[in-house]
Amino acid sequence: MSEFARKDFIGQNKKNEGAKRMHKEIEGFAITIDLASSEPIYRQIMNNIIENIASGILEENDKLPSSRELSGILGINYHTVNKAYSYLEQEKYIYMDRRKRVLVGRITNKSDNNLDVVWETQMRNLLSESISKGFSIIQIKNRIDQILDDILGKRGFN
Amino acid sequence: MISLLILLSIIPATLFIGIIFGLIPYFINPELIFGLRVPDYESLEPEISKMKRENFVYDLAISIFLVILFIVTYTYNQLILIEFIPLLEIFLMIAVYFYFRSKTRKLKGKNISSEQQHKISAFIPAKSTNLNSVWYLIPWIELIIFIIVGALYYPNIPSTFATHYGANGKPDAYATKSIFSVFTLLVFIAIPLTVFFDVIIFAIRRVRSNVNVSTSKKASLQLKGFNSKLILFIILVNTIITFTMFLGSLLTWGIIPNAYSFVVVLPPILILPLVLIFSAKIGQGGWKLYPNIKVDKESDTIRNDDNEWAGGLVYHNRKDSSIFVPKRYGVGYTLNFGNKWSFVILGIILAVPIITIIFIVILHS
Repeated sequence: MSEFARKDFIGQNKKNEGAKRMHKEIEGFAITIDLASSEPIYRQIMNNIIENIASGILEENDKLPSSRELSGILGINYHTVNKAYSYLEQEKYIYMDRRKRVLVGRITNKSDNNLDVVWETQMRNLLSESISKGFSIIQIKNRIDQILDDILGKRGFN
Repeated sequence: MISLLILLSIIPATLFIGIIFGLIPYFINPELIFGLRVPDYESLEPEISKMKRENFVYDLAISIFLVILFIVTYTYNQLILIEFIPLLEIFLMIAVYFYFRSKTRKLKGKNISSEQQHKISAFIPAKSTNLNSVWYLIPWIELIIFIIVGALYYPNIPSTFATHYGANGKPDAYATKSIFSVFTLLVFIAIPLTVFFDVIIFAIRRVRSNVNVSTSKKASLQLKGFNSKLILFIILVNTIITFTMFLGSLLTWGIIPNAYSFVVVLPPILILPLVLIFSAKIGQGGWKLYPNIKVDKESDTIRNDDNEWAGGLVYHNRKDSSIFVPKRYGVGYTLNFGNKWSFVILGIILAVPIITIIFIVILHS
């Protein structure tokens, strides 16, 4: 869990102004990339950012580092980050403003029909895979609940 | 006879340099010992603490020796030697550093782990600093106030006045009254210096950890805190220097009598203990900040990166696109010489004081 610090801090000093400032100070998001994974790095960057949006750590109009900055921070190729950003932009997770800053897009605007088809295909494949590997329906449902809790648990302080 | 000016400037400065060099090992992350990364430093404990203590004693002894040397050469009036004392001091301190570095290398020995890094983890803060932008205006407001004071006092300034004071505190150069000569310090030195400080601040806002060091949430927040605190510190130094220029102006304008010329060195001397306090409280890269945030061990694996630091002092990493990175030994930042832009910036940093000096010389002739 990444928000343990602010959780502890806010819990102890609910009325404390200092705590609020502290909370503001420690805001940000994490990206973790596994170089040994079979999943391409650009896809891992996308997934990291999408999960941060889903969990509410990144909100609409939050500023992301430019692709050059992010490639510097992670020490990976600039074109890889650029690829991840252009896919994210295509899928409207992010957009660029007039000053060429990278900003997080609106969550609600993304549920067009086209995305539903992709989403359903992916879900169908994943569920079929799980069933054919011998997982029970209850196991699958429990796991889905756990993952949802994990993602949404990062939202706010609950 | 040693003048008050010398007593208040060169002697404390020599001692402070010795103390600051001696304390550097205590200001940097305990994992970095004399520029070498020793992740299991705790297991090498009594020896490491002993080396840090010895380093302090050696540096202090050298600075005391140099102060004595300085007093001796000064009483025999061999002033040329004085210019070399700070250089000699820094040279000797670096020699002490390399002595303890080689001892650390022996101690570290086979413990070097050169395992390949598989996971990259980075925490990206929402904002680059914690600062309100009002802070950046303070040195400019101060400067404007002083210039207005000078403009109001302008009619009362004598037609010739002293512009330079020798080491004995007596004036040795004079100028006739003109807008240029009256405002040399406040306009032609303080304004370029303030611009220079703003450029440094602009660069610091972009500093991030070098790529081979994992940026866990804790490390990332510490560096952001360090950058913010250092920007505030630079603003403070800027205001002190501007104030010094103001005192210097008051001296040349005849408001402060010549007998009190030594007051000009008092504010800059204040900077030295402030550097000490800053370093002790914040630590290099801010490693003393946010002690309550626990480190996620998994995201904090650090590759052995000693090879990217020549002598533990010069950073050279082509894979890292950043120009400024936190120093490994010392408090502050250094350039990444693996990036060609660093040479351009080094050139500019060296050119600024040279151009300023040439400018002043031209103005005076």
